[in-house]
Amino acid sequence: MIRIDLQQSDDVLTTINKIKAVDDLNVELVIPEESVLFENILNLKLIQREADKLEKSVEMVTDDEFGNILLDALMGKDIEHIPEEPEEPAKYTKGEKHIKINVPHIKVPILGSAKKGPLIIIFILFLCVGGFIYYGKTAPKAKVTITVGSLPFTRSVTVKIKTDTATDAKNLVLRGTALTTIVEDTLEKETTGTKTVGESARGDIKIYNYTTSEIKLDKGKELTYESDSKNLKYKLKDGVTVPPNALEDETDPTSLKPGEITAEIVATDIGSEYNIDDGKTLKISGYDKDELVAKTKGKLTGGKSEQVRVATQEDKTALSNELKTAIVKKAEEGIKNKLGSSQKLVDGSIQTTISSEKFSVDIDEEADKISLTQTATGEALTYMESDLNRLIDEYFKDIIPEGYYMPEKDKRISVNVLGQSTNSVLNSKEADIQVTLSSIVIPNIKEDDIKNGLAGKTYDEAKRFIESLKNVEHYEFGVSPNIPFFTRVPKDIGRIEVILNKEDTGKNL
Amino acid sequence: MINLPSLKKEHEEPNKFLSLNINARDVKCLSFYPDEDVFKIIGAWSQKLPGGSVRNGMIIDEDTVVEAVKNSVDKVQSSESETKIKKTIVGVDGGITTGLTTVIRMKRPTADPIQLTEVENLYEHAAEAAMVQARNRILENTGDSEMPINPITTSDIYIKIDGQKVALLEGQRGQNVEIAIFNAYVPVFHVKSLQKVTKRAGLITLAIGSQMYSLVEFIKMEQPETKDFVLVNISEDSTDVGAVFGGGIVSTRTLNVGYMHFIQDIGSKMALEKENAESVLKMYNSEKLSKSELPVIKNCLGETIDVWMDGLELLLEDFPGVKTFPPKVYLSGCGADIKDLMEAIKGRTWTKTIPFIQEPEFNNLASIIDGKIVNLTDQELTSEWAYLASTAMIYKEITEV
Repeated sequence: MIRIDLQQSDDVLTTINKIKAVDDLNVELVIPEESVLFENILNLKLIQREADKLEKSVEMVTDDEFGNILLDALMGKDIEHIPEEPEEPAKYTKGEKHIKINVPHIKVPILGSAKKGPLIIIFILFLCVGGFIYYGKTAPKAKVTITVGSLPFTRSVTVKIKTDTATDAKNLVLRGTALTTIVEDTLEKETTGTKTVGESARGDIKIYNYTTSEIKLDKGKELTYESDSKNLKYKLKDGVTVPPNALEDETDPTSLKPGEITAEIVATDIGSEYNIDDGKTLKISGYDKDELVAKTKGKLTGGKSEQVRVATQEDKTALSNELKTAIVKKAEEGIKNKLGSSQKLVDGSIQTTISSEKFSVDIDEEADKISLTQTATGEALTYMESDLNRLIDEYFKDIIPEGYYMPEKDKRISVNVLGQSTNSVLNSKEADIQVTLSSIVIPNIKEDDIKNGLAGKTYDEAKRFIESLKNVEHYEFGVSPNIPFFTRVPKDIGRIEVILNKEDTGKNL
Repeated sequence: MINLPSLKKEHEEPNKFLSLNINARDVKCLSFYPDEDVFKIIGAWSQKLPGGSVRNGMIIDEDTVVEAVKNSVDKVQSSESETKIKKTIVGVDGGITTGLTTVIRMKRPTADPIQLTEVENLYEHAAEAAMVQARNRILENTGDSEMPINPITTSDIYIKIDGQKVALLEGQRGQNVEIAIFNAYVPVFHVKSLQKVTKRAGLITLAIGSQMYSLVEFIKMEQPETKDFVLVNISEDSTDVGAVFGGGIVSTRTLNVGYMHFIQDIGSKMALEKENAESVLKMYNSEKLSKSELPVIKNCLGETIDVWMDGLELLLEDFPGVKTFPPKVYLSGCGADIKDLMEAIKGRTWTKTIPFIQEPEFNNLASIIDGKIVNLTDQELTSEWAYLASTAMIYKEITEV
């Protein structure tokens, strides 16, 4: 998706030209606050329509308060109107003031005058005749109700929608466009694994050598304290050499003392049970106690252990599966939001692939929670409704008999996606659909032609004219009011009313 | 030579008036001399404005506009007369204007003559309802429901009592009263801005009125038999559309694409300055370009024409208050002189997408100007002047009252 940052003064034409200029099919249009585009919602609608024509998906975003109201309205959200009064009669308020009523000023002739009498009678007669002629010329209105036979028309064809292909009505191929969206989502869950963690006890010991030879102990030499419940293992932190026993007093053979040395040991495992007290005896691996033995020098300390939660492979798998379901849905919504007003999505054509997964912790890593951020790319097949309508019009144009036409308002086009099978394809690049056109065809009679044909004709001429029209099932014709000497159809076509009714003939094409 | 200030008092010409239109391209001014029921145009001038001075009818650079108004007003004054025409009608159009018709019905408990207080109450009710309708229309168009607006034109479309049309309510008998009133609204800031400009230019503002309304009144006067039609005025930076039924404007709507967008497109594609691009377009329209140049301009115009027509189609698709359009369509404004635009609009099958009663017939309004407004100047007044010339109808209405 490419981002276009508009200027405040960029008008609708400039914006459309900017969208045309980019090659990317998905455009994010960032409209600044107080942009001139927000002076009229038609600007936004026109941008949307032109983008649809270019088969580009435009997502408009703004921080403008009023702009966001318009963008919501563009997406079909209702604007909260100021309440208007319902269409009901206004309240009657009786007048309080007595006011003068204006009436036309008419002079009434004095009939008693002998000289003026005949003139007045002639004048009145003249007025009556004039009025009669005027009434006869202007009052009659002709009304003709013509019922034409309509023929039901239903045809169904299989159309292939393909991307990167031009529409070809003859071969029933419709140009499609792949619409792409990239979505990202994150999900967090509690970890289910546990492990024990802690510190090893450590401290000093004294090693006593009862032999006559010095004994060299390597680093890591194992020592064991045999407690009541279990044997606790320790090891030497560093290598030491324990001197042999020796007489304290060379003249006194009973003054034989073992050779001794102080060393540091570390428990081989974690836990507080390794914190043994001062003076405890430890057996040194490979030596009898009467040869070499160790005793704690002071209490061993620092040993401790606890249970903690860790992430497991099962946690990762469950999280990945759960998020995948959600992100697929999100990708579908993303595709639907990107659809232009006349762009149609081929149901079932959305294909979503997970392009990346990033977990917050590794397996066995201590953590109460584990989160996953997934990025998915959704791709779907779309087509322009107008392209499909044109294809259908083009394909069926030769089937409509001469002298008939198919009214636009009666035309219904329904689409069924055939799905993936041995005979049909459905993916984000190609799909087979079943298109059904249901309509009627009616004789090509135009109201204005009838009005012009009837104007000024006598009653019989008018009837003959109507009967000469092709494919008329039946008709009603009349001129009213009936005024003697004025029985012709009015010449003014504004006073001729033509009603065309359609009647199902029960026949088929 | 030193020019000394004149001590002669400037007198006002009492019987003549000016009409003024301030748009994105220029300030247009006409001077009129009303001779009984005929309006004689005795002066016409168009003063070009620098780009950005006015947008969508709104004045952006007041000083520049005031100078342009002063200049154009000077040009339309008679050089022989010592008196100056100061009374001015200002015509307003574009997306800044909201025009609509409000219908109010009242059931009276009695058939006694209608009294003045009833009439006043009814009109007050109608004004309130119209204001709410206008606010909602502005809200739908701009997302803003708070913008203060003023009515600039109010006119009765019809008055009916018990289904019969009457000229006046007061004194008539009947129980079911119905009135339809056309109102045009503009934002308060725009009215103040126009008043300030005319005041600074030394003019007396008689009225600020809707040009769409005045043009409709003018068409009705010239062709009284024409009651139902659509008016498309392709002005400088917008296209105003009005649907007229029974002689009254049901509603107006504006598309923010106009003549100057065609000029801009030619300018940017051919790397020409605005003035040169306009002159190329004028030569193209009058077929004065060479054969090799013709396809270049045609190509430049093509894309903008397509967008303009799509915009017009969108505008008509959800036109408020109209279910079906009458087939007669009048085109006016500077854009109506673009040859290719007229060909394209006539070539499209409109009934496929727009509920026209039948395939519309398009007429250039310049062809019907004759009769009650007469051009006495040497200048040829093309379609773009029709809108402004029609403001004489506003003068007629205010002086008749």
